[in-house]
Amino acid sequence: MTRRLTVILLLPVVFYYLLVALVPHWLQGDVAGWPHSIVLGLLLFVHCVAVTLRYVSRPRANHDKERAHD
Amino acid sequence: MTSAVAFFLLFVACTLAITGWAARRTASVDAFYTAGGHLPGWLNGIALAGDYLSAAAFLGAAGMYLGQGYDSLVYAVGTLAGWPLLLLLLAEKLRALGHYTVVDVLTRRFDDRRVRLVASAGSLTVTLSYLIVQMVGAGSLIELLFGLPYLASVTLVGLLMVLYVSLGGMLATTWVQMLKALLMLGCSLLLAGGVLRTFHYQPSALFDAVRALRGEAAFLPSKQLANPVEVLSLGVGITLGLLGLPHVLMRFFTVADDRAARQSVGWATALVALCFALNIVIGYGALAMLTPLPTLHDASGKLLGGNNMAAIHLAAQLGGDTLKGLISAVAFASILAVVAGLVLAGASAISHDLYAIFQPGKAASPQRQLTLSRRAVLALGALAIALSVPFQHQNIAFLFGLAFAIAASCNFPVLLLALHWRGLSARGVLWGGLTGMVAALLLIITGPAVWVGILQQPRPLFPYANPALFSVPLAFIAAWLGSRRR
Repeated sequence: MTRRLTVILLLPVVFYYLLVALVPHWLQGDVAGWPHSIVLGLLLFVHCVAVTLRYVSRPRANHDKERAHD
Repeated sequence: MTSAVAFFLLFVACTLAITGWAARRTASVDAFYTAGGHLPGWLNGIALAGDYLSAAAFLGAAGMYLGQGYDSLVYAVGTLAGWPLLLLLLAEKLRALGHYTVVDVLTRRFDDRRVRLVASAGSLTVTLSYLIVQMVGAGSLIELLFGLPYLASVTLVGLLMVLYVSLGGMLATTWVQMLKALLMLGCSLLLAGGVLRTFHYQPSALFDAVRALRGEAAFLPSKQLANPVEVLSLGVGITLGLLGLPHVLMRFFTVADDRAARQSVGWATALVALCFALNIVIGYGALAMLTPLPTLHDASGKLLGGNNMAAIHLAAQLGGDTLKGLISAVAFASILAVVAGLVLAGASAISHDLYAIFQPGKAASPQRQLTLSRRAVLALGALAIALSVPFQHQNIAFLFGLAFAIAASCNFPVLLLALHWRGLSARGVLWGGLTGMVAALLLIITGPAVWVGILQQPRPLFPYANPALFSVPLAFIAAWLGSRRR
């Protein structure tokens, strides 16, 4: 699960930085007065917190199993 | 007495009381480095956030929204992403394997003096660079906010941090950092709430006001982030740099088990995310509310005191001298908490890690270790004050970049591989650590910040301000190559 969550975490973040680097004009526009760029940033904040909470709230047995595998 | 001085004295009194309480409980080297190793996850998590969020996160981020607009959020995303990455890749294994320092983790696997030397050098370089930046920033900020001369300001910061750490060790540092994190969060909520109230609790109205002043450009990356390679390198550096900061990583040795280590990062991530989200409102609020006020700008149109004063000026607009004083005191508290953590990390590197190199096989008695630790704190405090003087008028932003570059390129790769790759050898650690450190150092020196900004050359030899996109992969490749050779 750790590897899967790492990929889930990093993919949107990498995509965001590629967006900023290569096609920043895609960030233009707004939705209900909120700029797309701000909404995207906030969604990424939520994403980071969600991944963290998902991992922290895993049952203890799963943590022990992964550690034994390591 | 101004409200800023009153709040400042109140904070100092509280933290000295905490230090006195902690000092009675810091009689062993274990207590000094790890606060006994049984801190609850929530306390360590809040302290982690307090350890990491410096005045740059509080004042600098708001100031960057004012000066560069959306760039501040680009920085924030990368910084925040580092926290769950820290949780997934390092936190639990550090707790399981470590003792007092990150070097302990490496030497547990590789009992090699050279590994200890390279790892200690990486830790100390990051810590000292970061410390100089914080001290110079502290001196300038206190000079600006409280009217104290620069040398008196840095001496005051230095003395307080030496007191907290030498007497109260990790326990005092933890509680000071926790107090500061809660104060910072409270102030951020006050400022953001004040801004939203001004705009009738309609964020879209705030964004419209910003649009009216700066156009859509305020919500897009600025010219400073126009180079794609620069942007990607920035992302790599600020995300991975967190995973190599010694003063953050050593906090994982203060909790009892990996469950508490996970909870720590959970708390820290949530708090950092909340602060960064509030910064969006505070930063754009400062832009919308301060820009139209000519009394807050000099003849050239720059904000009085610089963009880093944006949150302070905003506080004055929203809550008068009282709120301004509170924000000023919290900014000072932010610096104190971070430098305390840095000095503790540096002292542990000197008295624990380097001691074992120069006195191999001769373990110091617990009492001697404690004495050495306290002496190291004193020495570091004096060094920090001394170094902040020549750097006062230098453009020191490169030191911050250097600290993160070395953290990302030297400390992080070897730590990650040591914890996750059985094929890593001691030679691999040496090759990887040295390559990362040398690459980061060389690329920073030959880059725009130092080669052009300080050495006044016409063109940089290395064109990018952030070297991480190059130095991090180099470190991994070198570690792999070093581990292949037999």
